[in-house]
Amino acid sequence: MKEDYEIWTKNLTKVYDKRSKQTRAVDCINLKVDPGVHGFLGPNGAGKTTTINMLMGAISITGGEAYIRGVKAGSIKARRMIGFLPQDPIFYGNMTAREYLLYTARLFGLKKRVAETKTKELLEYFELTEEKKKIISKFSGGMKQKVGLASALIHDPKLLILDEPTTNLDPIGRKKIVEYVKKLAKDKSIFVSSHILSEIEQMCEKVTIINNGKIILMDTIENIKKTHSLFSNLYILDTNANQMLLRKLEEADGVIKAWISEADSKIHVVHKEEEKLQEIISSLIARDKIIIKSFHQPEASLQDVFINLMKNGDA
Amino acid sequence: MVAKSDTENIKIEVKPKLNISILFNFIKERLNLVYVVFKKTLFIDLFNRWKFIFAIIFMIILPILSILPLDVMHLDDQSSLNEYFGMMHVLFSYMIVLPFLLIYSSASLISEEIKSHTMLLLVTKPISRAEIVLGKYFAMLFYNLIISLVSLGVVCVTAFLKHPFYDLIPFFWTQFLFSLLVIVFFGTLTMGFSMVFRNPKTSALMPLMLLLITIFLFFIIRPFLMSPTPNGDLYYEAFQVYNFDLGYHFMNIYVWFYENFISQLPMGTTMWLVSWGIYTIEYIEPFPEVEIFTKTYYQPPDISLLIILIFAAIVFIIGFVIYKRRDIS
Repeated sequence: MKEDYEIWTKNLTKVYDKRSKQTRAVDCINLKVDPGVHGFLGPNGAGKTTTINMLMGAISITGGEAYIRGVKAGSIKARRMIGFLPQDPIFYGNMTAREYLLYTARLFGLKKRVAETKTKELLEYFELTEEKKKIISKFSGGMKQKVGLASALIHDPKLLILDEPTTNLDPIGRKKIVEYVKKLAKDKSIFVSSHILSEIEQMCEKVTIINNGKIILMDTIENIKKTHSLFSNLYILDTNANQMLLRKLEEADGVIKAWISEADSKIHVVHKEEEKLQEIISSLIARDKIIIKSFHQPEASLQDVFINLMKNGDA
Repeated sequence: MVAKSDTENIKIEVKPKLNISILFNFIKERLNLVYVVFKKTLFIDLFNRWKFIFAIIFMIILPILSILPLDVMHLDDQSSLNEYFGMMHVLFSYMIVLPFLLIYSSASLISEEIKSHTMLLLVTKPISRAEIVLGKYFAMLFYNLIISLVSLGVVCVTAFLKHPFYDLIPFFWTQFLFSLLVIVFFGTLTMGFSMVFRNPKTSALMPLMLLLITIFLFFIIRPFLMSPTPNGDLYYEAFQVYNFDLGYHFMNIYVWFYENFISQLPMGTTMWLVSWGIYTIEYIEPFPEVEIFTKTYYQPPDISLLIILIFAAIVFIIGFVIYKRRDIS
């Protein structure tokens, strides 16, 4: 069972003891990450980095268990399978990008020649060839992140764990990283944490939302949008006679509210049931020979759902 | 419904045989990782500009400058380098400069990586924390050993150019073995503290304090401790202070090396060793100019060696246990 998942945790818990005060940073979370790109969402301090660091064996697990592709998380065997990009990676400032990549490659047990070939390939892939002799401390944030990604890929892992890969980057840098992740997703499973929801939406098929150390939702983005949309009862309608249709809709059964938006001059209708609303509209249109230009339900962004969930205290 | 054949339900577990070549490859692979950390620590962390300049000035230039003014006009074939230069070199190079150099070079090896968060890059790779520590530890030992050897080599060559001392080779071996002991002790100790504390300055402060207490403070208070109690015994003996006096243990071992490699200590050196608790001095009443030196033998030198090594090992092991359990982020 756990072998089927890229990441599998059961009641994974982390408790910090600080001066007799206990903080549950991660509270009994059960993760099931399938192959593909999986987003790990949560506000700052939700427990994302703590969870990832437990999976990587950097911090101890207080309770529960965690497995990476069926292997105990934190073990040397598990770490060998993962390419990891930490949040705000800090590199050895006195090393060049090439030296750092070679060092990482050797730590993954790559032979010297293979390490050199892989380093060369990755420097080219991330457009760092010209900077290979420059020490990393002189790199920009975006370039450092590229070095981090390159080092995560040096041993060609099947699973990539990226902790907030776009934090502290400018919009161009962010776009670049998102593009790289999308490219890499073709042949790798990626577990990516972020609080920048628009990027998660671009990169992932499935997400897990965490808050206060607890998982509050784990599903595909499509399902989450459907089931948790703020606009589940809202429909937008555009015809050649919006004013007339609005008056009739206001009097129709089941219509909670109807108005013409100033922004797009379209009719916005709030109705409990989509089918009934469709029936009403069909009959009105048939009777008054109105032509429908468009009829749809507005799609909520993941950000809307996320904010709604946090507001409603689903955590 | 098709019944599954029995063979489909049988799982055959094949336990891998312990093969020598598999074991050899495994050990080779792990040692290779230790070597990767060793190499990086040596060439990137230790052989950096300031540490190297510091080492060259204090371990090479200053000893040469101290040997150059040696007046060789009155020396003959039987002149001993150990007598003229041995104790001074031990005190200056191995009891003061080398410990400082060791503390300076090794205090940051683990703690700096924890403080600056680069340790996260390391512990998330397929390398155990023991291998990380071993790689860094051996690099530290190797670096200081090289510096000590170069320093000693340059001193010996300079001394030889000044005068062909008969005991040049025993001098080299005594000093080299003693420097090895200092490197192992202070290096192990500092690495231990480096694993305990997150701040490199604190990691350096602990062995530095120990150095100041054992070498300098004890050097000052030892004569007072050597004064007699109302019962007539010496405080130093009565309370067995020597057991806790690392300076005494170091000198006890040095004398052991010296006596094994060379011979009886020269008179001038014996006088020095009184202040380290190795000898006591007595004056006979009617002849105040006559000094009688008696070796104390508080502890056999091998026990002194054991005490020093066990002390360093305990600090190192405690440090490693703390480091192994530490959350790195």
